[in-house]
Amino acid sequence: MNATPAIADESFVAKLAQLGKIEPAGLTDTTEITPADWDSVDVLDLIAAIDESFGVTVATSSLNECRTVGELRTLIHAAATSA
Amino acid sequence: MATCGVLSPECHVANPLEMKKAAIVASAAHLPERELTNEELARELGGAWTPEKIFEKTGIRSRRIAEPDECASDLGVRAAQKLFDRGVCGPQDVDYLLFCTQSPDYFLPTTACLVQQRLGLATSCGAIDFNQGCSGFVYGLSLAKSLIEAGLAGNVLLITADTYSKFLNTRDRSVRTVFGDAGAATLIRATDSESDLLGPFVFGTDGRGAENLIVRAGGLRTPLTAASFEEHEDNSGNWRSDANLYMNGPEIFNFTLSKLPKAIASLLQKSEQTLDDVDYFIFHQANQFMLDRLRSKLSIPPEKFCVDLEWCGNTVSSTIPIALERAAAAGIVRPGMQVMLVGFGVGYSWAAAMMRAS
Repeated sequence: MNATPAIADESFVAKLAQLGKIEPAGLTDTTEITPADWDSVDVLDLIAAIDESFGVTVATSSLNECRTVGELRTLIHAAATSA
Repeated sequence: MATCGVLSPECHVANPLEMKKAAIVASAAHLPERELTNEELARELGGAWTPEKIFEKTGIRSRRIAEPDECASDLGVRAAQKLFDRGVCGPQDVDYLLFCTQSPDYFLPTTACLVQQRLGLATSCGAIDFNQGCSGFVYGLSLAKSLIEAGLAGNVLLITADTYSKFLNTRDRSVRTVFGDAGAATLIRATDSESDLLGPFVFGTDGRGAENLIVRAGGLRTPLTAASFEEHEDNSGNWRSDANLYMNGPEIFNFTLSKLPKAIASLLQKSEQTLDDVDYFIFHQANQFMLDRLRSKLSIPPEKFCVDLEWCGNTVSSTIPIALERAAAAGIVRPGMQVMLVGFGVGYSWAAAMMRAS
């Protein structure tokens, strides 16, 4: 069982879907996202959305290692619990 | 009568600068003639970056670019001459010159010494450079206050000037869209006042961020060689060499989001004030996206928060004095107002201060 809570923030899900060019309804933990390949202004958008929705900042090096929505969720959760 | 050891008995006489408070009197700016618009940038950079997209992402429509033979000292001198022309003070009144730049004319001599001669400042004037970027203006104010309130100077001329354009690779849109060149001159004067007119200050430094905003080659750690000019493409399709400015925008953004709210809370605590007591906020004009996020995170009402970079871009250490001068000219900042100034960036370095507008 995964102890990390789901990303329930609607505005964040919408932003993530927009940045990843995915339909919000199609976002699951296994959905692939690759911030490492994004334009830096899109990475800025993602950092801002994470800060706004969860009140945490995550290092871009960690973001760039994310390959799926589930990995991003784990990263945000780890940042939130260590803050 | 008490004497002071080996010094003459006169030394007990009160220093005329004693009990004076440092106050910002006025600022003036000078920007290069040459304008670089989004239309021109979009034509040059190509790809998906339209003039509107550049504006949408940065809040900037145009920036000024120094000519090849136009240095930070030239911009600073012209800005200071405007202060003199306006009668704020005369060159001979200045008894200390602080020159903030990261693009000096030479390794040595100190640019401030060249500027002393060009402005016709007295040879009894102190003059030093200090190397700081986007936090430089607030650091300069802290130095000026210290000199004045310690009785060491009465009129401090603080010049901030930079020509980052000379560090930029023409094919690096991450920095070319953002930075512009400028110089600003600010006079800080010893003033009769019971209360502080400048300060308190808070400072911050975190050298772990050095790698995220850097010109790697050209100093003595990495002298220029042919390899310094080899250009490489990054993941976002931007090109640069080690002799160019590199900026990791997302990491700089992270730094501001994590450090600035704490610095501002600390400044408010130090000044025994709340956010509501501050009449106007002038942050370093980095780019619109960053300013919007910071304002929203700090819950500052938009009408109290300066965003003034559309016409000139991010001019590094000159953004705050340029914005301050324009806000005062527009009647947005009026005498007696409590203004918070916040500088942050390369280093990492940050500083925040309160000022009472004169």
